[in-house]
Amino acid sequence: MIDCYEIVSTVINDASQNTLRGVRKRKDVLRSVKTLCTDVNVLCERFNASAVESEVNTSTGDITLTMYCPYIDLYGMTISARFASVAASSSYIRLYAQNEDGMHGNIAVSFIVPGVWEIAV
Amino acid sequence: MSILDPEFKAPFASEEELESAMDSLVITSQGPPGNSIEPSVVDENRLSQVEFVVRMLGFLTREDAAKITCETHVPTYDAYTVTVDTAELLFRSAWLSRCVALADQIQVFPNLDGGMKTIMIFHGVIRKETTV
Repeated sequence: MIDCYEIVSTVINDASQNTLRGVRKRKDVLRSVKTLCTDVNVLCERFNASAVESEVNTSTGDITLTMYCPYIDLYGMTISARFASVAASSSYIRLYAQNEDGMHGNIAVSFIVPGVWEIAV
Repeated sequence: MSILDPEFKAPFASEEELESAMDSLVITSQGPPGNSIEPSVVDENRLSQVEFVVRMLGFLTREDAAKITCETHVPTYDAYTVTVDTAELLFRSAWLSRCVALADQIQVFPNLDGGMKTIMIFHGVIRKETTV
C-alpha cells in the first residue's frame, strides 16, 4: 500500500536538512500536506497506482507529488470530490503520459503544491 | 446553435479571458443521464458549460498538436462528449476543479502513440422539450 505522506515527508526533511538554508517548515502547511496525502492515498488505491514520487523545487520551494496509474476515471460524487480536494490544495495539476523505459502505458498526475517553508528569522 | 453540430467559439486567447468566462459561468444541476429521443431541445446553459471546457482545453493545448473533438448524443442521447488527444495538460487548480464540477465523468488513459486521451462527458445538454 502506498503511503504518500511517508514519501513526501522524507523529501521535505531531506530538503530541509541538506539543501534549503535559512528557512523553516510551516506547521500549518505541513498539516494540509498531510491531509492532501491522505486523499492521494485514496486516489492511488482507487486507480491502482503503481508508484508515487515526490520532489522539491529548491528554487521555489514547491513540492511536486506525482502518482502513476494506468488510468483515471472520475465518476461519481465521492471520487470526484476527493480529486477536487487534492486539486484545490495544489497550485497546478499536470497530466501526462509516462513513456519511460519499463514504465510505458501509465498516466502521471502531478500535483504541484506551494512549498512548506518560510524564511526563518 | 445546431444540436448535431455544435459550433463553439475559438479557444480562449489568454488566462484573463478564461478566468473571466469562468467567473460568469452559471453552474446548475445536471440531473441524471437521459436516453430518451422524445422531442428535445438544447439546454443552452449546459451547452455553454461544454463550450467553456472546450475553449479551455483549446487554450491549454494551444502550443501542441492536440486534437479536440466534441461528439453529440454520446454516450447517451442527452450527452456531449469532449475528447482531447495530447501529450500533456497543465491546469491551474481552479480550472481543473471547474472541469471536475462541470463534467459528469472524466477519464484519462494513455494512447498507443505515447500520448494520452482525456474524455469528458456532459449529460443533460439535450433535454426533453416541455410544452405548455
